[in-house]
Amino acid sequence: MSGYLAGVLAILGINIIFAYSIYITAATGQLNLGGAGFQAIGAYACAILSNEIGLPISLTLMFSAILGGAISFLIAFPVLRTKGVYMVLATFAIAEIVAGIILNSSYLGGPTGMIINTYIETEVVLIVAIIVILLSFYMMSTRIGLAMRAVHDDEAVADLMGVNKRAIQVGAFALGGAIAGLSGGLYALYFGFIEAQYFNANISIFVLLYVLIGGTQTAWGPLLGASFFTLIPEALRIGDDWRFFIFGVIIVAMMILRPEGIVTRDALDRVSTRLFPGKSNV
Amino acid sequence: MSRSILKLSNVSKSFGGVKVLENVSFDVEQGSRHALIGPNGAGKTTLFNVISGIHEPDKGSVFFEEKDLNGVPSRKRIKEGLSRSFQNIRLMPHLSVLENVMLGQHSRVPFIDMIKPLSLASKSAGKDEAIETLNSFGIDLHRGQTVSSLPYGIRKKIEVVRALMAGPRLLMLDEPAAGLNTVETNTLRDFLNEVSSRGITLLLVDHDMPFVNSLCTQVSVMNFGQLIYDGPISELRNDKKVLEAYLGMDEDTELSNA
Repeated sequence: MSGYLAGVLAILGINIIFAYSIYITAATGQLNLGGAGFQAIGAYACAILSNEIGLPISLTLMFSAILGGAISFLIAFPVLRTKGVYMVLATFAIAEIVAGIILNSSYLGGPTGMIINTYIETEVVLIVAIIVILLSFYMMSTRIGLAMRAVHDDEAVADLMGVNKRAIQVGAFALGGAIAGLSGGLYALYFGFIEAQYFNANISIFVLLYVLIGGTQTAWGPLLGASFFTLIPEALRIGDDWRFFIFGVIIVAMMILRPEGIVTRDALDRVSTRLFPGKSNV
Repeated sequence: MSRSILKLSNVSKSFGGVKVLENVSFDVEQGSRHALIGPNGAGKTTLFNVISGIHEPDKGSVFFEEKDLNGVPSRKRIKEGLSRSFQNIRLMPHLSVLENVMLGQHSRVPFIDMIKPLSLASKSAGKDEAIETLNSFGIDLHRGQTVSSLPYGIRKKIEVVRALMAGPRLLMLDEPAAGLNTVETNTLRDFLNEVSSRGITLLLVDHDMPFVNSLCTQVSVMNFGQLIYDGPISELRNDKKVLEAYLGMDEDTELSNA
């Protein structure tokens, strides 16, 4: 594998995992625009655990996810009191607070960042990405996934059907935070250097775009969205400076042509009916 | 006299200064087919919302099988054996027909079944039961599609099936026949008769009087948030207050004003 290809694949893997973190939350109808904050928590947790304590990679990654999950669980309670655009702003503010804390902490390296003294290969990132993808598909195919999608569609009715919407929303938000933390841990270990400036609002906006352009209705959405956003700019490199222009045009066109995302339930249903006639989708 | 499954005792509810329900009291007998009728704005849907826990009453109590439901959260009432449909269709637009119907089973599915994938769960009672009930309603063809693409009449039926999937002892239907054609209404009546024969108590709001007459035996009539009649449907036509509510004023007043 060439260095360039390995690099692109690692970024793809990290982006896909990051996209699933936002998707899990979005599947219950909540938009998290603070993805970068949770990713930063995972990345810095990983850096400290490897540098200071010297934990093995598997444990560092596990703790990155646990810390991301625990912090998002705690802030889920105040954040989930807000709805719609207010929730988007609240999550955005949390990411800014996280960046602010890191920038002002000399222990965390402040604006100069941190060097991590262990590293992982592309394969590790890809294996973790595959595990996250499979687990997400599995979860969305169960009755818990059904309850999440029901809360997304109509939380009042889901509640009357006996779904504990609060538990579903808090759980999804915390799980999203855990997966974002995991993606941050992988980023730190792969690139070997992290700085607060990297985990900025752009990253949060992009990851939300991966999910919205990919589609929030099925677990295929984040996979396709993240791949699309990571690979298309690379493929457009032949167009030199025009690549960002062309990429922008593609995004606008996608929003007009597929406002509910690339993959929707009905599109998936049509494809599966064509491929497997006679088989009914659940 | 048979036991009452639902007992409303002096239920009152106001929104701001508007009294929507005023001291409403009546009983729904176990196994009966009970209609709740009244002109638009009489408070029927609000009463449904109070019974299902969307609104807490300002005063009074709702007893289900002699248990006071005050303080029981709305999501737990379905577990008590009380499920409902909605006046405006409230199906989940991004779920398939089968998924919508299976959502109705949520309250009685053990946790272990919550973490099994639905597509592999064809042997599980839940999925088979959902498919069977859909078939008995003649809607098997549509179970893979998301519901938003389906015609109104079919979506209306799916709502009834979803409410039924919770295994309720009291099924509350808010205008189930609204918007259905004659054939569809007849199918619905036959289906509800069948549901009733299984011992499930029906409480339904509807404006379609021939439908209500042919299905229900008991009726409660509301007007301006108050109960004005409660009794057998056969004697409804002779009740003066009911006639007034539906015709606007009684004949004497109308003549003296002319």
